[in-house]
Amino acid sequence: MAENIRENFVEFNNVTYVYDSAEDEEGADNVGNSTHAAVDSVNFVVKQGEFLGVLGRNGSGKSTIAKLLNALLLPTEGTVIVDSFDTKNDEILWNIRSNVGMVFQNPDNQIIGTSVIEDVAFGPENLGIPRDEMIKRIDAALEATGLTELKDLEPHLLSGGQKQRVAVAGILAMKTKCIVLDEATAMLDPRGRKDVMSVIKKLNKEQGITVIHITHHMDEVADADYAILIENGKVIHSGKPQELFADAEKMRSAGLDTPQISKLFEALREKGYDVPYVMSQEQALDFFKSVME
Amino acid sequence: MVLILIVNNIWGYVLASVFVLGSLAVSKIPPKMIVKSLKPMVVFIIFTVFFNLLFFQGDELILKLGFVKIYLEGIIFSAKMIVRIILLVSSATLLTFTTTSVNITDGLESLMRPLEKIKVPVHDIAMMMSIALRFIPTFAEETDKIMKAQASRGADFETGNIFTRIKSYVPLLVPLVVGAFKRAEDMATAMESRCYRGGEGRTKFRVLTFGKSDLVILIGTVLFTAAIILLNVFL
Amino acid sequence: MSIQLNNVTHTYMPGTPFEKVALENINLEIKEGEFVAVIGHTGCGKSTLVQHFNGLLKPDSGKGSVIVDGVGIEKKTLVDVRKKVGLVFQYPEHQLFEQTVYKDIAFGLRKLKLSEEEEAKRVFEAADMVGLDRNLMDRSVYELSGGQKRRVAIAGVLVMKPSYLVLDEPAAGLDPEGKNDMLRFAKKLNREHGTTIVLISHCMEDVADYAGRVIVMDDGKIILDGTSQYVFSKHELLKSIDLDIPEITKLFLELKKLNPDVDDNVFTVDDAVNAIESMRLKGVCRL
Repeated sequence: MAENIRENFVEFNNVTYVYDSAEDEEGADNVGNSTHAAVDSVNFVVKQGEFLGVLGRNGSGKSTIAKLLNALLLPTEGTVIVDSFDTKNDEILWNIRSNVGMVFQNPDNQIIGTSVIEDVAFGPENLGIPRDEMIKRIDAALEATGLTELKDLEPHLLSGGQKQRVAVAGILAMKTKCIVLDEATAMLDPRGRKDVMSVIKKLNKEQGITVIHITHHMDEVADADYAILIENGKVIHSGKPQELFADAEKMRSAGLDTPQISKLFEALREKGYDVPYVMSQEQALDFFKSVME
Repeated sequence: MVLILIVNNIWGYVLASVFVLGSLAVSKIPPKMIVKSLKPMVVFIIFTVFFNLLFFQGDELILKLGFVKIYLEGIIFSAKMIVRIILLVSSATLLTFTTTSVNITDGLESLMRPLEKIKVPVHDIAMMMSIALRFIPTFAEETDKIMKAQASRGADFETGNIFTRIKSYVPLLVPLVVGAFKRAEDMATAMESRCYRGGEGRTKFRVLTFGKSDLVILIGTVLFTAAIILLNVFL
Repeated sequence: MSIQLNNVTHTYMPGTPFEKVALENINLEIKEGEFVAVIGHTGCGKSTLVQHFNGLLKPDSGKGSVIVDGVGIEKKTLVDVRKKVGLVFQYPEHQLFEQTVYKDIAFGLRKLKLSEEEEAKRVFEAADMVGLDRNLMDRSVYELSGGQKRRVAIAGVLVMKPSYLVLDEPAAGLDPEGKNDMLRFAKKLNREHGTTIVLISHCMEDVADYAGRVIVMDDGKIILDGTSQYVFSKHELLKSIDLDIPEITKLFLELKKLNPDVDDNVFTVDDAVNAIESMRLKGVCRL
């Protein structure tokens, strides 16, 4: 494989973010708002075309990281560099937003159009894309997300997974270089999660779109190139997904849970058996094939 | 539609009826649906006729029952009212059955476009109408869900006098409104993230085209208007 | 003591072009003290089913009856039924409306006309059960975090001391720790207070871990009704209605293909560990 020196698409350099807390100086009296940083001296890098998983419990600060990525929030300290632009730079705000697409948690609250195709058109309309070009982009986006048959449906007739796919299609039509999923699977049933994840993985592999997936479901990150674990606004672990999964205790203390298959291997290890760290069915099967007659 | 209200002679009514009935025929709306849309008005029509027959004073007395006097003018006036109501409601039905709400908002937006010159935020108004329409089914579902959740906790939306009933809607309205605000905030964030900055520099995906049939209708409407006005003036 | 559905059929919007038979001839009895899970695809009728338990929905006229603890559900018995059968919808925090946490929890008690002390006792009991801090009682509900709001909403149902509690995906949107807390809470209610639990869930691993009985629905009908071991062993049938089985069960089905001596009646991690140890003893695998 050729040495592909991929450029950094995102850089978080010592980023700290403190929400405007209540006037109360003593801090945590106002439940939910405290004077401690939501994001605390966070450093990480995402290369172009990479699939990064950001794991953490609810309230760990991972959603704040999402909003810092497209300048919805600006760091209190440190810098966020996206596509070689500093997010604090007012002038290139729209450059950033047209290159970093966000899919949010609530499937209903990000669909603006009165039908699937109308909603996918919203982004390109905002960018002032000429109509002929727009139609081509929309058709391609619907195709890539498997929504071509549903293009005229009204939003309330769609399932959660379909709605999130519409959001992804809307971003694809804007031809962004990066897609950030801000807990986009949190409100979906297992079917919906599977649909969205398979679309995202396909886009990452086939079109080289950088993906930053923020979630509390570890299994969604098993195939990522890289993963970071957030707790109390800090990065407490980072590396390849296997490395994170291997430290089950740390994962659990950070409010996460390993997949059932991993739990089986943990239980076997506890009983003294020498078994590897396993994250998926495939890995488990491979192991058993090697030890069975 | 509005012209029906200014018609003041028999020929005007005939012309208007022909126009409306003709449009309905062309629209291919099943007659059953048109009749259904008039059903809610039946009570209103009966009341109007009743009161007009009783209290309209005129010259030619037709019937006298005790101290109730029914005049010819009263009968004619009632008949005019019935025709007006039927024509008005049918025209409204014509509009809603042939045009999607999306097209109506688009049409209104393009009609209001000239108002931009006097700083009317036409695009913003159209965007608001469009988003409101999109959320109607979603809000209906949410209302149902909240009502059921509160009913499960013993909320009663049905018994009591008018004051108790209004109060009983608080557990429904507060969550709905709070939810609506949260939605609006999320929507604004999502729109900004997709580079929405208002109407400047936006292109449109949906276009309204002006075709042959539109021209025919436009000319027909102009002629109709002229005819009604002339009939009013000269007869 | 039980909730009984006899020949219940429910049709949405009858006589219109949108007519849909949501429940077809359902016969079901949920006995006191059970922990039952109801699984099935979105649209299979699970929500419609549980809404019959507390009279939110009624069977089509002449098409069945719902009997709670020996009493049929009708207008005059509705208030009592809703005290006995509590229903927690998905994302229950969206229904909070009162000015303070205390008042919202106490909402369900209004009709009972309890004295101030009795009311306070019940509200605090409910708050303790869900692990809600007592000094949050006077706060506005909007100051709380999502997880706390959900606890308030559930306390608002528990305050009526229901003997049957329906939980529609109570862990929806919660992180893994939150989900585990929620399920353990349901188990505690069932074990320590004898509350009958009806859990609607999409997570098969959770269902296998917590539910004693599983009801599978598809297209308005009950397809399977039995222990979780029984239901999940019918993997072909479940697959045909597009339902999943626990991940660990899938693994063992594959392992059985490698060696027919493998026991594929494995539905939880404990089952799996036992199965592997017995495989080791039989020499089926080297560990």
